[in-house]
Amino acid sequence: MGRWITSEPLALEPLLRELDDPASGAVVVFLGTVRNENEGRPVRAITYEAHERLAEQVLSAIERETVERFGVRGCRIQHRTGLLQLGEASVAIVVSAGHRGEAYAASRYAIDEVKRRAPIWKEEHYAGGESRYLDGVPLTHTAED
Amino acid sequence: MRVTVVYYGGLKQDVGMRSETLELPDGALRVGELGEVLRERHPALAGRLHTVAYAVNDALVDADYVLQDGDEASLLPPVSGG
Repeated sequence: MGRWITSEPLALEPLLRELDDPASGAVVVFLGTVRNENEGRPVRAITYEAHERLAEQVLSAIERETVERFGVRGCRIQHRTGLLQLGEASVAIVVSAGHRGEAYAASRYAIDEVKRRAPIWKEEHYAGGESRYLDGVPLTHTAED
Repeated sequence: MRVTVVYYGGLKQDVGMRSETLELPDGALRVGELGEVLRERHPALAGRLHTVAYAVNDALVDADYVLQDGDEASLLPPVSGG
């Protein structure tokens, strides 16, 4: 498994250990999980695909930017690929900070940037057996803006 | 020159394949022009190329990037991670 992209189930403990820091007073964990409906259609699973090498660069850059912009002590992001069942986590974001205010703000920034910039695609599988790729956000070239 | 094209997301279904290797005339072919070549090969791409971003060998590139022999060009449709 890669440091940022993995086909294994996401595990929080290793990420929390990486960010273990006596100067931290707040750790915010965000998990994106597979929901049982989208736009009114029952969803039974989602397949995630990534351009892995590019996605690892992008997620790494988002971690660095999150730390710099919000002055938090650490940020780790992992995104899963492959077939995920309902309730499974597709993305994990852990932010460690001195205080909760910047930790929450940084976490929100990080997940928004992942959704906007990471070269990752989801294919939803529906109850009836059909599936489709979702419309997404066109990738811009402003990765470092 | 030889260029491998990799299709991501829904583009795979549009063109019916994951990747293909193309023999292209030597000379300065830009990524944007490769898009035109691919549109001719795969009419299903016609309505989609204007929202596609390109990566070559793991870096995002602009449409005026000049392809080299051996490049791997990835077509990245709008993203939907998270």
